Amino acid sequence: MPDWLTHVLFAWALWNFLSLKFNMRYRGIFLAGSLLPDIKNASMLSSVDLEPYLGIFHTPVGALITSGILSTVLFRDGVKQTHIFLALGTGSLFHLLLDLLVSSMDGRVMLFFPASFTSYSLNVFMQEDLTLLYAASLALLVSFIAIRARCKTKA
Amino acid sequence: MSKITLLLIFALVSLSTYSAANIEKHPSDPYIIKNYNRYEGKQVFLRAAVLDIGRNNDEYIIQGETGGIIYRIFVKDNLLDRIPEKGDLIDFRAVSYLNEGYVVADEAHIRTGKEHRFLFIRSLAAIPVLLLALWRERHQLFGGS
Repeated sequence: MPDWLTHVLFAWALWNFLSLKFNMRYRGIFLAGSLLPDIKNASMLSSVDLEPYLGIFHTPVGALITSGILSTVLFRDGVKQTHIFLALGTGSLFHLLLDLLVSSMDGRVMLFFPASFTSYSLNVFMQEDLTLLYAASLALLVSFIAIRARCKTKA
Repeated sequence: MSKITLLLIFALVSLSTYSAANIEKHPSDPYIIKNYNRYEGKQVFLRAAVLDIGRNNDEYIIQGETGGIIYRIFVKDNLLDRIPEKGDLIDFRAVSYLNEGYVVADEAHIRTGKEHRFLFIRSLAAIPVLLLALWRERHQLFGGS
């Protein structure tokens, strides 16, 4: 996985770009979604090997189900639940997309779980490579400039 | 708790159990180390902390540690992108002979201890950013729709 800062900055940039086109809400939830699949890393804090159980959080199906549970547990209003689910779910899927780019010998993401246990990786960046962090920072900067430009145009 | 929440929790627990029941199809490092007998002569993917480095002709003999088990990693120097040092981490694909205390690597990647620590620090740096973003929209979230 890239570091969490890269995930959060990329997600923030994506949220900014999407808000140019759509009426976006819940940026914080979207950013939280961008870290949600890494719940599986909680296994590192335990002396027991929890990875076999927690690994599903790092799959598209697991991430979407978790988003669904959180949105329905935390909120009662149906419309709000839908918005929260979309924000968390999109953020989570974006996390997995970024993780796919990171190089790994045995794959990063079980894309088709539960149909298949094969993990995939596109092997574009090394995990410690700072290129992704620079790209995330640049994307965020460009997104702020785009938002500012749009505000000026509207005014 | 609503029916849909219960259904989702049931689905998550079922899938988690299914994943754990099929761990041999996607074995974790601790699982491989714990069940190394099953992987004798087979290919494994592991990550190890580098404890010591020796050299024999064109290969490094790295003393590595994964999950409390110490073993030797034989790796040809042309497979490595940098010279390993104590405190580094090595990811590798190897044929396991862990019964005899070693593995023979076919592919390896070294990450320095410094790079590993910096990765951790960058991850920690994301937490205040996230908390601030959530704090700023607390009224939107919990103050009615």
